[in-house]
Amino acid sequence: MPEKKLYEKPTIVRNMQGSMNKLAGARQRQQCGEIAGISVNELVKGFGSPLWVACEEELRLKYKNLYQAFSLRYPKVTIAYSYKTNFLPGICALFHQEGAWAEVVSGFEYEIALSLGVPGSQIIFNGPYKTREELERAVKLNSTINADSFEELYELEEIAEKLGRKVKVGIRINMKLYEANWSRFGFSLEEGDALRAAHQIAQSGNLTLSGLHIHIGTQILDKDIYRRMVERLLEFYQEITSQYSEITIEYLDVGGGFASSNTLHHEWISGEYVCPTFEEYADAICIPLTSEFSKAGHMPRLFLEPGRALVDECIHMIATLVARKDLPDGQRGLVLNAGINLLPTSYWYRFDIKPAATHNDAAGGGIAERVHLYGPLCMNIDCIQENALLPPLRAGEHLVIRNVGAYNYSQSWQFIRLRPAAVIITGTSVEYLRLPENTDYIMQLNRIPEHLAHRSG
Amino acid sequence: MSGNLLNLSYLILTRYHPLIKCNVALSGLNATDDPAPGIAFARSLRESGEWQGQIFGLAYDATETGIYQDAFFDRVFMMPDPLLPELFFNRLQQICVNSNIHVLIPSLDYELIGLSSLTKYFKGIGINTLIPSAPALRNHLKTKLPDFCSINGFKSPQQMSIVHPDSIYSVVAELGLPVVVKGVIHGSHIAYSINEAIIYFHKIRQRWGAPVLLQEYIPGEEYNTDCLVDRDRKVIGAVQMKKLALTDKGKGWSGVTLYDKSLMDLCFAIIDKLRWVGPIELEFVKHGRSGDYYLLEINPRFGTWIYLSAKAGQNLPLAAVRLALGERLKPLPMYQTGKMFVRYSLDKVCPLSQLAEIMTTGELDLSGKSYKGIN
Amino acid sequence: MPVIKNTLEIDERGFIFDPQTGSSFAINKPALFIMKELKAGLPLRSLQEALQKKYGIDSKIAKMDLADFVRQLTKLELLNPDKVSPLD
Repeated sequence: MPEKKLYEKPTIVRNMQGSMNKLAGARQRQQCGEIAGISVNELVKGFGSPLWVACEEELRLKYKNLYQAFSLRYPKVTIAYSYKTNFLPGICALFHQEGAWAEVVSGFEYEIALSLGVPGSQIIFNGPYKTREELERAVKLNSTINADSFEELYELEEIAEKLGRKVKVGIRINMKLYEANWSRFGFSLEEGDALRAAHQIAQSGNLTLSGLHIHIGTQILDKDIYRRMVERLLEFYQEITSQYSEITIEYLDVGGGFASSNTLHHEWISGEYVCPTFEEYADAICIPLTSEFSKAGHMPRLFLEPGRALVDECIHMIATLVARKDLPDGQRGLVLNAGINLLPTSYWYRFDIKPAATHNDAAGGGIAERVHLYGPLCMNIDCIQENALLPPLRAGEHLVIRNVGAYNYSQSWQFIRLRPAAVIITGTSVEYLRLPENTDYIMQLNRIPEHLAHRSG
Repeated sequence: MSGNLLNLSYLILTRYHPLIKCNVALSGLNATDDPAPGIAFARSLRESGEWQGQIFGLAYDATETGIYQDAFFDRVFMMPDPLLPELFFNRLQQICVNSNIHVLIPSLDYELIGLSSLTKYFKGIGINTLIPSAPALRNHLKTKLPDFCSINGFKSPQQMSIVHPDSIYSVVAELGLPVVVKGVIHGSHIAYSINEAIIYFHKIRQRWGAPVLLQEYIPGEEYNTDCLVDRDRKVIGAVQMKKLALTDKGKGWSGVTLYDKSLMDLCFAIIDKLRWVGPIELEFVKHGRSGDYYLLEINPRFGTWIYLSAKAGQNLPLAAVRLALGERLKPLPMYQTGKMFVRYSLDKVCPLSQLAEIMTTGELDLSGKSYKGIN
Repeated sequence: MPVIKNTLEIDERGFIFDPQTGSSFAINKPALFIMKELKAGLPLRSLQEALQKKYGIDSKIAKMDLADFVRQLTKLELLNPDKVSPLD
């Protein structure tokens, strides 16, 4: 019996230095036919394409691993999930079930947390812009507030005066640790503003300094930066507690910034290899903390505000190839139905993108095609990835863009196209986290003034 | 005078080693004007007279020049990305079905990062290696060099890692000009102006990713020491070489063996602090005025000039294969100083069918061609 | 005269060499089948049927894939310049 030949799209590629290895890109050509045990075809049939797909088991496991890594090294640890990373309420609710607090940076996010039943006392309110009303509510509900500016401290003083009680407040600090500049958030340590803020709070009759907050950046691949940060934070802690004996720092909030295994465009080595483990981050942060506080009677609580490290690798996107393009310079392009409208982090990341269907591997006479992956927008910048090595694909085939849980849904927008559904896989069941948008949903807030409502001619 | 004594001891101490028979897989086949050390390693083995077996080349692109060198390789195999250890390991397993690999010597800096996670599995498929531990490897990383040196009291140039070209202005204000622009894995250029630094920044980021390192320029001559360390972290051999001529890429194109005790002591101290195992190359510049040695770079492999070590009396590649096989070696006898290497280019002519073979089957059989050697 | 350049060297293992330009190309198995048929002189019109028969695929896919493949060949300048447009 003649062996059944696996058919794939007939393809020819020119041999060029740098792409002359049939085994190169073998990883991408591995099929990703299912997500958490559910077939991609079935997911598309049931919920459409493009589609966000979250994996409940993985999300819970990430949280547990992170919590364990830190709680084994420091006795008082609280994780507050960073809402801005992905504020799908189902995702936030999942982390709250695991014991997470909410870390929010706007009144809008604050309200999502309240609507999920999170008590105000388990919400950390951060960010450079908090309105008077938002602050007042947070004070009343005993949330942890980390002030970002002198203006905010004045605002809080007024609120305390109005409510006639002392208000606890933390201050966001920034320091120069590495090249990236996060100095516009909070009070500069080097400029002495952090100390001035502490002084202002100490002078105020209405405010009490209860915590120090810092967030040093995002996708931080060098764990040593955390160690240096904690060491300097502790120096500052020593400075203010010795200067103002009445101050009791209840918490040190070291923010987030832990990396996911995604690969930044400028990283030559795959993110999986440069991404520190939770244990390595925990060592960098907790070793200086324990050596500082093991001798002291008082031990502040350690707050963590992770987002990316929890959700990025647990949510994937299914997209479908809609057209192939031969570009005038001899390169090839694939148009997908998901673009930067849904995957804005493609600007930073080189995603792990895999075909859903089986293709011939290199050993089976298959070849890889070097392609640019474009989105569906009528806009030149809509490119998700350049120079992806993929098996020959034809229109209608599905692709899985893996590890896109962080900052994609929450930064996606309705430019040209509406946003698709999001689902979560729990065991063998798949349920909506969010329905696909429709035109009515978008149009309901619009108003057409009477004089614009009639078409001329 | 001490040089003469040492040369004499070399003659006296040269011992007979039994022949070893094993197949060795090597990477680093691209011998261009910025060469990888694979061919030099293979040649040292071939000419040692103490080794018998086959040499397999492991390549990452069909244009790597060593692929077609039947004088050095019996078979060549295309490999998947070594930073995807699972695929890399599967490929090795597949190769081992028909071609037994007894010793694997990775010769590219970035390979080590992925392969250090595999060392415990190699043994299971009969492959012996001599790869440093992951923590030791982390210390060798170029980004960690200044920290490593300052903690342990070694001199090294000041260095800053940057991601954005805008940072060049402030860094150059601190480090001065000229400044050395380096890739985190590979690549190095001396920039004499900010504009030149910006050009090199982009060039390096494009090829080797970020961060890009800016290193203080230390005026002086370049000295390399290639060493071999056994599993007990004892140095088995070490050869010093001073570069006599550089290419326009700054690569040594000619060099001479020498012996400076203070440099040798420094190398041993560095290796000890690194807790290193396996081949290693330490690159120094000797400050023109102070005469101090500054550690410029640590390579987790032998240098491209390692054939010189074999000809000067310490066949470090052969010893590395012996160590990988589990042999215990005494420190090698002193090498000869004053041995010079001069590198030259040579065109190899071969049928296009060889390219077709490696492109389509992922391997190239060069066996059946007798080893003629080039001298 | 075949649709593809008659000087093209086709290696059974999936490698094409164009001695006129010095370029070489990698092809997958179905592409090799097509190239060999074309070199043997099979007209384009009969190719779709041959492809369908060989791999048991439906006509819509065969038609779409073949058109795309011929477009690739055109752009890589592997078609016989003496022939009129193969798309006719």
